[in-house]
Amino acid sequence: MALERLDAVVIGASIEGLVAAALLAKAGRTVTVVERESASVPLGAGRDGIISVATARALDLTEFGLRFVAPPPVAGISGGRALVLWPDAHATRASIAAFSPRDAEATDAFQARIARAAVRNDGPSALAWLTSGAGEPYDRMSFRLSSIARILDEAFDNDLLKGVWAQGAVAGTGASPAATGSGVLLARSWMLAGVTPDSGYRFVAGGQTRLRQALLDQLKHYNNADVRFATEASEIVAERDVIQGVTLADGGTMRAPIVISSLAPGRNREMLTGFRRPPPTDGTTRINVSPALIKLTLGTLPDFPGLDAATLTSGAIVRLDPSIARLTRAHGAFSERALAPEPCIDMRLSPRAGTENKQRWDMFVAMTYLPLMTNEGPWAGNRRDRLRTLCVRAINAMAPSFGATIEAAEILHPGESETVMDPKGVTALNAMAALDLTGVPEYRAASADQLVKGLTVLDPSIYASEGDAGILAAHAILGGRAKAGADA
Amino acid sequence: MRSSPANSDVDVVVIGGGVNGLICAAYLAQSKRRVVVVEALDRLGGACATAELVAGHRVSAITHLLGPLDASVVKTLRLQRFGLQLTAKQMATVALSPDGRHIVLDGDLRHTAQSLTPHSPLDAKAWAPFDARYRKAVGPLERWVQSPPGGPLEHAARSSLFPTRSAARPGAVLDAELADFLGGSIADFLDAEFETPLLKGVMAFDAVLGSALGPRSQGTAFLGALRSALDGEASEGLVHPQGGAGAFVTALAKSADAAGVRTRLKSRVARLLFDGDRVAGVELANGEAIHAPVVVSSLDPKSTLLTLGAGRHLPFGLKRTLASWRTDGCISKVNLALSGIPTFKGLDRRSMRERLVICPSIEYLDRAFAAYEQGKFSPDPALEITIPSTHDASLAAANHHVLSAYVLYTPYTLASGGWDKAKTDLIARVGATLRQYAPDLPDLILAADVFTPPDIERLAGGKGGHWHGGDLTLDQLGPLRPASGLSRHETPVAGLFLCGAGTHPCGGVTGINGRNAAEAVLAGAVAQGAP
Repeated sequence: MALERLDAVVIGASIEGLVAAALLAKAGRTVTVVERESASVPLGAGRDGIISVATARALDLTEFGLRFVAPPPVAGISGGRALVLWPDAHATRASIAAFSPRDAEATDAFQARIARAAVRNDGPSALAWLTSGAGEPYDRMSFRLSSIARILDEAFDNDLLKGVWAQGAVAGTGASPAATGSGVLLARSWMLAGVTPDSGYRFVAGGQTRLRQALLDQLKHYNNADVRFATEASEIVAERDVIQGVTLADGGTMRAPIVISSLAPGRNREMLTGFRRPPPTDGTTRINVSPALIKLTLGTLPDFPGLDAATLTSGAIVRLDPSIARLTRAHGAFSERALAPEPCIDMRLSPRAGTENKQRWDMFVAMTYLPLMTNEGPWAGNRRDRLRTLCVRAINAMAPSFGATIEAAEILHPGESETVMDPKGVTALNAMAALDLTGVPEYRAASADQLVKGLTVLDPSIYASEGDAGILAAHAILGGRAKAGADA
Repeated sequence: MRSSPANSDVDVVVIGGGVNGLICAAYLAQSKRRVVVVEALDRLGGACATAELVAGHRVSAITHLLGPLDASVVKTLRLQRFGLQLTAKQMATVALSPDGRHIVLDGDLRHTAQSLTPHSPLDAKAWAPFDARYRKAVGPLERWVQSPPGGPLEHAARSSLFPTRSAARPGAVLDAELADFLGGSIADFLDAEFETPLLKGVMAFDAVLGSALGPRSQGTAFLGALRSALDGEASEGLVHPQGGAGAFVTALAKSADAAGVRTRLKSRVARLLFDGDRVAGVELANGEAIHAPVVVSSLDPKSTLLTLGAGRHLPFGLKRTLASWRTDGCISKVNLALSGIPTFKGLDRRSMRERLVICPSIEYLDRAFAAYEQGKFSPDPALEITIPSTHDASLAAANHHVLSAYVLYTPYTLASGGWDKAKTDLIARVGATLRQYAPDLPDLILAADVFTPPDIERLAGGKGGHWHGGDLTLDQLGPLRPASGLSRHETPVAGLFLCGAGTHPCGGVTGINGRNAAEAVLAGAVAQGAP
């Protein structure tokens, strides 16, 4: 039985986990990342790579081949027409104007309002908000506590435009656009979209796969860091509430005074042994969101009425007939842990690299409000087939020739819980936004909760994968300032 | 345009003869204002009405429990002198359990703990400390519900409202608790406190009652706190007037009449009249004009400001905010006439007088909400039930009874089919649900009636059939009810005020809205030196 002494063990090669590991390694600590999956499993395949500027700077990621790119255009298609939000504001206004000149006019004011809501600030206290509610800082808080639906209804007339925004805000979460408190997600999605240079986040070329590779390359660069794939941690070992290390599924042990975990909070508690009092449970029943993606191989370029081929092949995110009403109905089905008959779908096309003669395309299809566990059990067998059929049928309803272009299909990431934000996470995000002790990103400092001394949880039900949680955890451990922007 | 002969002597026109309109009118008349109430329907009271379901069985048609009713309103308007007799007040809530292990929430810590013991000794023990902590946290809100927040940043006014902390120092302990309420869901809040599903079910029920939010929606913890605050010391609690909700209106109308209020029925307001940027009265649908320097509307804020011609006096942003104001009702009312007293398992005769709730767990409520989100109603509806004939003999003949039930999460618009076809089904689902608690009940049913949100809209005149005049959600509460800057009953139109359920704090026959609106009118008059 191998016995190793390290400064820190990181459970899970998530983006946040790798960021924390790299920062600790950079500071001279010996650190090992253990990842259950093998190196060949394409973690994060098909997903956007978004990194906070602070993280990218702290790790010199551009030295390791990371390139920033413009955010992808986002299109909504409905009734044979497409509305596209481009990275370029003029192009966006022109596209919206074709649907509603008034909404095109209102776009700048709306963006400005979101920008104010997303800003990091010391706002009013809850009590001050309740008793006043008027004026700039109060509006910021009102925005976060309001619902996505109400904010969009206030700003715009066109349902397709509202649907495009709303679906982006709730994607990957379990929150309904009609629920109060979901406004914070609109601010969050706007911030992460990196539309303006000062939002603090950037898209990276090659998506999450490339971002992960850059982080792995950086870790390789340090002699004191190691990443072990196909290595599953089975126990988090504490003695008298102090972390001692982890036990591996193969029987090995890694001793370390610090364990950083990006597993779900409930899973950490199950794995934790040797504490005197049971750590507090939140006791809630969570309906987690599945991050599943359906990857379709297309033999020919599909034709979406109203959307030109250039936009489709530019890497645009294409939303299928998005609307707040459709999202609300789908959320109802999600609450029943069922598949919505009209799924809310994001599609993304990318050319498949290869030496074949025939050009093929990968189409990544993501469904919003996919329950991690269905009411009939976990994702397996014919439930997976049904999911694929449902998606293809929904796309066919918009683009009748679509089904004929499919050569192969596979489902990625079903049953993972590592990269989702669930309703409880949204609630937590809101509680902090309401408190306004911090702005949206800094919230994460407070939630990197320590169940026992030496354990840091990068709660995947709250964090996205843009490096903030990792940087905060590392700074807390190294005694630095627990602020995302501290290094910026 | 014809001129009304009564024109020259009117100080205030109140639009809408619902409870808040009448209360506002009566308060103003007591302060020597000459007030005319114009009501579109042929009766006063709005959602407060008593109707005959079938010969010899009378029941509060829509609103069945009044309140939490503010005690000062009853006293100032001398409603008891004008015939108001409460056959029940400070009504307890009984959370029904199919096996008879009901949980009693009546403000008596010992009772509640006793009823909790068979479910969970742990929760029984936790109840009293929880109650103390919760009351302390909600305490500041008891004063908050009493007077409208917002307007210009009046630090002095604010710190006198909350003397426990200065407005300039954020992040006090009290704030942290309130912030938790603001951001959190009632489900998360209760899951952290208790383990008994029935207890959590009934408490979550009370939090979401009257809002189109689920128990896991953010902000519902605050709605629970709001309800507790309304039920505070200044309140008579939930009450039942002898003769039903209509009897309350009768007493109120007499009080208003005695104070000099004139009421005009079948007088729908077509539009507001203006003198420059000031309101100058109303024009009725028949063309008659009633001139007055002050108009107070008890209609919902959206209808008042967007449909009566005030639009051109409003800033554009405000118009957008009001246009997106949510008014779709989500509660239906089922009334049953019974040929005898039903037997609820384990429920004594005394407890049948209380407010009975069927909501066995948060999950039950969540399923009903999931159906609502999909434009359906749940086959297992969550219910608030009263059997008023157990304490009010005027409603039904001897040994006969009437049962009244709110059904939560019934959409204004059904996703498929319409309400006409679905009503029978809804009554059947309510009957089947009641059968699980009172097996003999379905056999006693003589007649049944249902009021869906569209029915309530038609009968009570409130847009969307929402008896709060606008959904109870964080973005439509407190400083944002009905919009930032409009929360103190005033509007951007000089002389035009709001007094309906869509103002602070909410609907539900508390009396607070009408009273506060009258105070705002009088304060405005003092400020301007008129009338």
